Amino acid sequence: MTMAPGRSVPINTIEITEKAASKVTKFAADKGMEKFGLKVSVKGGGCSGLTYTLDIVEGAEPEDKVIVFHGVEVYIPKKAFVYLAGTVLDFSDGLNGKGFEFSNPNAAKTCGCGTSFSV
Amino acid sequence: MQTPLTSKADQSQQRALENGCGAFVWDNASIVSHRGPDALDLLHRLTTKDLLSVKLGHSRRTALTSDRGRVVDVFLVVNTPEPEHEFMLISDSTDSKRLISAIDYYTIMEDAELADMSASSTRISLVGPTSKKTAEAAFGVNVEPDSSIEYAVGDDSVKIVSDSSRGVDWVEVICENGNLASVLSKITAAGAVEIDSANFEYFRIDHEIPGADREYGEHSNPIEAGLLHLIDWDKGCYVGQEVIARLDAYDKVQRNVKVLKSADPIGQGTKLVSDSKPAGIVTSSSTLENENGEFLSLALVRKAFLDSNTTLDADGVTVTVR
Repeated sequence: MTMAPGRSVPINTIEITEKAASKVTKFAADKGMEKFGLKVSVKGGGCSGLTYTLDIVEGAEPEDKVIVFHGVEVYIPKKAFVYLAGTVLDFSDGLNGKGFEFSNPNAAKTCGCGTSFSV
Repeated sequence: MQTPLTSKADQSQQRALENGCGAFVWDNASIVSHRGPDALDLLHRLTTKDLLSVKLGHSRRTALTSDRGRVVDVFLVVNTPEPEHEFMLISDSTDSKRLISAIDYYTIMEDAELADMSASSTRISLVGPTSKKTAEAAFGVNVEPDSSIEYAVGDDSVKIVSDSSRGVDWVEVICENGNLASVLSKITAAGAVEIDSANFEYFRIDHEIPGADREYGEHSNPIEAGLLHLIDWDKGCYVGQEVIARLDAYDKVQRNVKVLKSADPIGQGTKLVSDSKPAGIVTSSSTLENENGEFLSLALVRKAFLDSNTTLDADGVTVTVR
């Protein structure tokens, strides 16, 4: 995914688009969760070595960085933030859509399916 | 080229490896402790084998590759019986720091810690068709395929790990350095013959067993390096999986490991040529002459020259693909 024209995300934050936020809200509602947030993190593994993880959770951990976009709280563990700073999380649907998509300026290489990256 | 010093392969040692049990004490091998509730899951996500099914008291060898599909290291993952969530990683590489730094690089949120045990531990490889029976007789234990057993020596423990991935019967014995003499005496009393490094290397080459930083390393991918059996094609993603799957699917692998025979020894790193065309590179060579008056080498040979009895030039020495 390429970053939307004109969009730039400060490197001390990440951003989720309105579409991605509405999908997160829908998934949380489907799960019957009234209080929720989106945990965005990184773990080792995947074709390129580092894999994005997304979880809808009830609250932040004490060490998480908390950012709010379009009414959705986003929780990012401090250890993962260095790999994610400046990232835009979008959602693409339809027949050719890939679901949640990351545009990460730290990624030197991304695998074909877009779920893993290297820095 | 400087001619290496040569001698004859020791027939008693080779007979033990071929028909009985040879015991090889490694001067330097990588032995790493990987501890924590996320350790096995992390290794599973990083490496070529399905490791989630490695139960307590069992082991499996796997390969860590780079995102370019090159081999970083190959190691045996031992799920030790005690304590829980503690794994021993045993690699043939002499550079334990490389394995540790590679895994550490990918450890971000995971609850897992690495510790280098190489300096305080000794590795003895029992190799040959009676290696399991020898270990059973030496330690009074039952050695199942790909199992890990602990044997108490005073306050210390000896780990006995069978490895079915080598193509020959193979049992690893890991002990504290201070227990080497007593452990080795038990093994030799049970019938094993001590093997020196030259004869162990000859056996490895003769059996086409890929070696660390020889056949595999940052210069080769696991398919060409003879590690195809260490790849689980249906396990899902691991580091380098996309590149390795593409190499296989589009038949892009250009070389294979082959044993070469020659009347004179050849040096590691010697380039192979056929009618002025590059044909490969020698990755391991033995200075021991066998009963047929031949010297053996391993090489990464280009596809066009893989047929048996193909002759190639190795810096003025004629070699034959076995």
